[in-house]
Amino acid sequence: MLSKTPLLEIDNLVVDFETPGGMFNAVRGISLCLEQGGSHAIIGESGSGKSVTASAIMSLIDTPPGHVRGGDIRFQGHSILSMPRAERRRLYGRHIAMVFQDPAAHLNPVYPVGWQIAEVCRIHGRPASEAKRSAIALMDRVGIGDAARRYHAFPHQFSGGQRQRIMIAMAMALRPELLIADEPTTALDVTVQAQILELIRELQQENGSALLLITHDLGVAADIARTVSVMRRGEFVEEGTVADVFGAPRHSYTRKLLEGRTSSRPQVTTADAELLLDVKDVSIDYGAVRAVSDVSLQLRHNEVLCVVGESGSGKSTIANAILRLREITSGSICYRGADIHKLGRAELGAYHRAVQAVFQDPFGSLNPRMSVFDIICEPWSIQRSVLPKGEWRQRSVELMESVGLTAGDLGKYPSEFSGGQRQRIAIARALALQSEIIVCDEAVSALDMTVQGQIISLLQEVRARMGVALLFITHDLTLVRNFADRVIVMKAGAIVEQGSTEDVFSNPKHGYTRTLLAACPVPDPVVQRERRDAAKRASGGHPAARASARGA
Amino acid sequence: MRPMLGRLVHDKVALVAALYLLAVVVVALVAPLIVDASLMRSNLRLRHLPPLHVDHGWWYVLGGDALGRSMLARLVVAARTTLAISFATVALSLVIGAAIGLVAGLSNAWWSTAIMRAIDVLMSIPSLLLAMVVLFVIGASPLVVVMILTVTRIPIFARTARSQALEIRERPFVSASRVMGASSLHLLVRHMAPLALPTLFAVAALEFAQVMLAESTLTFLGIGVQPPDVTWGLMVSDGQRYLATAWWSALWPGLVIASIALAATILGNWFQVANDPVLRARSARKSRAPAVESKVASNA
Repeated sequence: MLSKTPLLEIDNLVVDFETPGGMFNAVRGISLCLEQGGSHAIIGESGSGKSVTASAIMSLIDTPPGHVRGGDIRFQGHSILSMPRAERRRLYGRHIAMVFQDPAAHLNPVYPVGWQIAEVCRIHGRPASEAKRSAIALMDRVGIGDAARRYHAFPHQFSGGQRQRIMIAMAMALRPELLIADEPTTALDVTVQAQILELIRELQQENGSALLLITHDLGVAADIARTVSVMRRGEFVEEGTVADVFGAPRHSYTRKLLEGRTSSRPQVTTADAELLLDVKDVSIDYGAVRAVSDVSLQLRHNEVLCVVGESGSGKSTIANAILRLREITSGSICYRGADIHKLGRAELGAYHRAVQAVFQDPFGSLNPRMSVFDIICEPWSIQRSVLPKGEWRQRSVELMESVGLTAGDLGKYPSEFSGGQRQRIAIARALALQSEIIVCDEAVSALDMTVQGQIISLLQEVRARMGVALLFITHDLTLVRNFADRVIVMKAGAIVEQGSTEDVFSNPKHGYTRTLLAACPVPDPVVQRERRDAAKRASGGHPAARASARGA
Repeated sequence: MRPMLGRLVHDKVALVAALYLLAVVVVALVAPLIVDASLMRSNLRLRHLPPLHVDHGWWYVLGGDALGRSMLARLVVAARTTLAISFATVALSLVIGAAIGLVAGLSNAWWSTAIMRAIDVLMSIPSLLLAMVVLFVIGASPLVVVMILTVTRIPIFARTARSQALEIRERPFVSASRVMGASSLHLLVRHMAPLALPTLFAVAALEFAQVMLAESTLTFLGIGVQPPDVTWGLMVSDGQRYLATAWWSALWPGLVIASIALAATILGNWFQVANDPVLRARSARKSRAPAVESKVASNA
């Protein structure tokens, strides 16, 4: 017998799913070996099979439709797949634990969080009083302040970051040898993400646990993992240490991922271009809460203005106000000098023609019961004067081709398209009225990285060809760098910094901008470690303590 | 339409229910052609003729009633009135209720709330009591029965339509439409109605059974349809007096009511599942696509 069996071995694992269209090979013979205390990341886009792999380790695959067709998963030399159920149950929670993407969905809303943490201990045979004591200690450890009192609080009383801390407390309750984290920070703001990653790293070191991280974000992988596998269509296309894979990628797909969304920005000078939109001192209240306070911004002809902020910063609220989906409390929004809230009927129609939108959710923004042709023609059916009905067919074909789709796609329905393709349809619809301004509210946030890159370059092309101005709302600062002419950074409803993209990135004046820039992980392990240390030095102290002080 | 038909053939239980209802509708439509007037006249020699033999011809296979009329012939003739009343009631309350609900769902304004409170008031009145009072005062006829039943059924459609409208209103494609400058009418016709209708149709199928039973109840109580018009409810009502001596006089119409109600309910449930992608996926778990990746699948 070998003196040292690896902690986790995945041996030629094959997982298939039955679908109406035949068998879908989700995982096609992957192998992986994780040592005691190691940290490994599986990187891939949606549909690559990375989450299926994690589910297979935790026996979370529904059968049917899923089937583990071949291969084996061994934990400390014992095959998980052929283990009796009872033995497997003893393993999960105690020796292998998992943290999921969406802590809101994985915490039971009707039980106090402390009780849920303690449940793990009770299941594995600890007396209730001891379980409660250790749950409080764990909450304290993961940075939930005033743990003894908060033990009785319910999930909805915590923020997203805190809920993820609670999930991590549950996972680490029994000091498992292996922690599986499936997109643990994807639903979180970037500054909170940095804190959560730090917490996972600390706990991993304290307990000597191994970490298997599932992520689509190369920066996150570079931040926390030592070895990495790049997964695509159910197979590992590249494996190795983070430094090797990110430093010298061998496979073209890895290179594509690393290039990601970077594309060079055409130099356009718009400083003296015509002023289209002038937002002056706008405040918006939701009941007693002030969502936006005294925001002013200008959008000029053919300009790309990006508004960056974390959740709750008011960036989408201001976009909705510009689109007239939300009333403003005070201030004014002027389009070509005319206040949009004082327009007559005909002028309002003209305003709606000039300003169009692309929304975040590619699945919600197209009516599922309308054909693509009907969707593209909807603007013309509302604004009758734009295009006579006889030309709808020809113009819609042109629009489809201009966003990289074909005339044949016009007869299909939204459900027949992928997320990226749907966003293309939404862009075609936004272009139908030959608008001057397109408001993109998190228009690429729901898409995979490589698809984000494609949509961004489409938007750039549209801007150059049709001369539209883009108001681009996003939470993702790195996305903006090679795309925006000017950047506005928002926090808690107010603008904290604005300027040309060059200035904001190379010489950020406001502390919050610097925090945001520092919190974005970069896909280079060496640089990322330096950035992390610098950020830690800058803010000082224990990250968990810091977080509890800030209520993250 | 074609995929719906395919799905119907796939679900054997729903298919049987649909075929049964179709057969009943066909029979009701051709009733005047196949039922000879002599069968509807009283014939005291055949009074309470026992069923399940054909000594007096096929029309008497289900026996004779208290006046010696063919049970089968009366069932066939009654199908027409019964189905007409139920269908008219459901169609009317669907149209009126859906219109009220969708318009109320368009806005959060005070009048939207006022409409719904009025609907709640209507809902809180016991429908049988309302029907008894009105029918007693203005007299019973099929038309009045339809009107009464319609009024009592409107709240269900209105509430369903409004809750659908409220949900659809928040979807991004409605926002996109507003950004294009769409009027409320446009939103209603293009976005809300098409998405709300499948659910409303499913409710309508379930209501069809309910309305038939309610009509039977009214007639059974003697305040619904009056002779010489005949409905299945009236036949049960007539037959129950002779249950001890001639069980068949109430059993056959009762069985028809129950089976139609069951078939309509099955079809209604099926319709709802077949029209909802989420429910459809859940019911066809075997052939479900993998929903394991938690993120949006997207490959442009």
